[in-house]
Amino acid sequence: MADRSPESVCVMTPRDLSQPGWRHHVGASGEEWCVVSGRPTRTATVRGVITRIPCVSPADLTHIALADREYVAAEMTAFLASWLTRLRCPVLNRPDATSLMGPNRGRERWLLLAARAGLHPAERRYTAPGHEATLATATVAVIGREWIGAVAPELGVQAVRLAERAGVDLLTVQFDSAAADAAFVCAELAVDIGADAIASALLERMDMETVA
Amino acid sequence: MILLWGAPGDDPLDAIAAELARRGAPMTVLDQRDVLDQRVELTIGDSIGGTIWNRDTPVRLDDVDSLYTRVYDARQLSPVAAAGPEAWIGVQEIESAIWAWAEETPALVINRPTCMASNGSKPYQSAVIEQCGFSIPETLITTDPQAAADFWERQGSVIYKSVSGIRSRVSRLGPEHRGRLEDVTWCPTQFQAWVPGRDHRVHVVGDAVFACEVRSDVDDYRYARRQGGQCELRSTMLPPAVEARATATAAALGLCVAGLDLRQTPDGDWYCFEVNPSPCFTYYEYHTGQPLTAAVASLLMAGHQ
Repeated sequence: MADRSPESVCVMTPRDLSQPGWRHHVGASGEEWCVVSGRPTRTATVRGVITRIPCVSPADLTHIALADREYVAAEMTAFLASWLTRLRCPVLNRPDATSLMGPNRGRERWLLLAARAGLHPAERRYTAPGHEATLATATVAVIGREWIGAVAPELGVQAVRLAERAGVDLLTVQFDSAAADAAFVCAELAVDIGADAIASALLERMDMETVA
Repeated sequence: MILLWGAPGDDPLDAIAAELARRGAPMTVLDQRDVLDQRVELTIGDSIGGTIWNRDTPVRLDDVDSLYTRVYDARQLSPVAAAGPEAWIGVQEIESAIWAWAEETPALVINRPTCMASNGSKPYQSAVIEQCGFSIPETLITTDPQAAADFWERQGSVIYKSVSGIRSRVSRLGPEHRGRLEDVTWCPTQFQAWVPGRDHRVHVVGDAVFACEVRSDVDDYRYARRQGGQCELRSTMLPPAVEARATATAAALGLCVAGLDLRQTPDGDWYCFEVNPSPCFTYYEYHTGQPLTAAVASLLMAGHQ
């Protein structure tokens, strides 16, 4: 997406959290600043965020002393949870306490939610350790209340329903085939933003299409 | 049946187990240190059930009316650490499955994992705290040394502490820190206006509220001895409006049991710094005589009934 719209899309990485310039106020007002691609930026100029990581991982922090990485990763994640939550622009997905990308359900709870939403879970039993998951062969990307995927329309409708039940704007829903009677395998909060159709839909969602 | 999940030897878990045993309540302890000998089979339909196998003993999840969790980072448990990284993957799968059940079961859960997660980010949690009517300290989280210095100068007295749920000592900035402000460029660092007043630890257990006043001469009373200071705890009563705010905050966070860190300022304002979703209430019970273990046990048994 950044390649597609370099003037309007910038990439923020965990490394940006180790740059001077961040100012985030809680319990008081004050000008908010962030750092994007190494550049201090007024937060008010950010028009939308697509979050691609559930947390900052110690592995992201090779510039931090090894002994400090786990602590710094937790601090950065906690900071981002607050910062993303308080942004007034669109944030896809809004973080919750479990993940920066939105509610982190795990396979077991996705299967349960799918069953409750009227989808057909591919698995009714889950064993741990060593669970052997059903193979997904078809996916649907949900963006807002639209869906994208080479699947029967019934699956697209099911995927949107699942996203609504989960309270998320972005969701990839996996099925065991592309046919109308396919079974639900799992879901994840990331979508393939490298796909043109998905990137276009996202930019539209962010109201950036004129810039793009 | 009441299920206790944690590591025996942990004070609150042991206290609850002893109290439930004294009352003759049906109870099972799922020892987290035995995780390498445990497995989980979940059945998933419109609801979630199944069995946890604790060695060869089944714990049928549909029979669980109440769950109390005091779960540690399993990597810190010696059997898991000794088993190596391959075993760690299996441990994560088992714990993930149990947490998934804990999140969705209709049983009473102290506390559900998504509700406990709010404590992983203090400023994230403070949004809920503020909505419930408590004051929160003016806070700046920054990687900008000059912004930190300006905040310090403007506030006069400032403390710094971790943003995440990782426990850290709350410390007041002093002259010795001035030269270290440059370090904030490595990681967003949380600075808060120091709030004068008297600390209170308040435990909410269901609808019950137990308040404890803390008299200490150090900035973080939890570390009073290490800092060469003193700390005295005594039972107290909160004004009804503050008590109501405390229960509302715990409820808004989805917590059946919670430990709130409050401070009353000299002019009568009440600040809430943090809500602990897994409080070590036995420490406060020991010092105040408040019947916290009994209250938690009663709550678990009510869920059981």
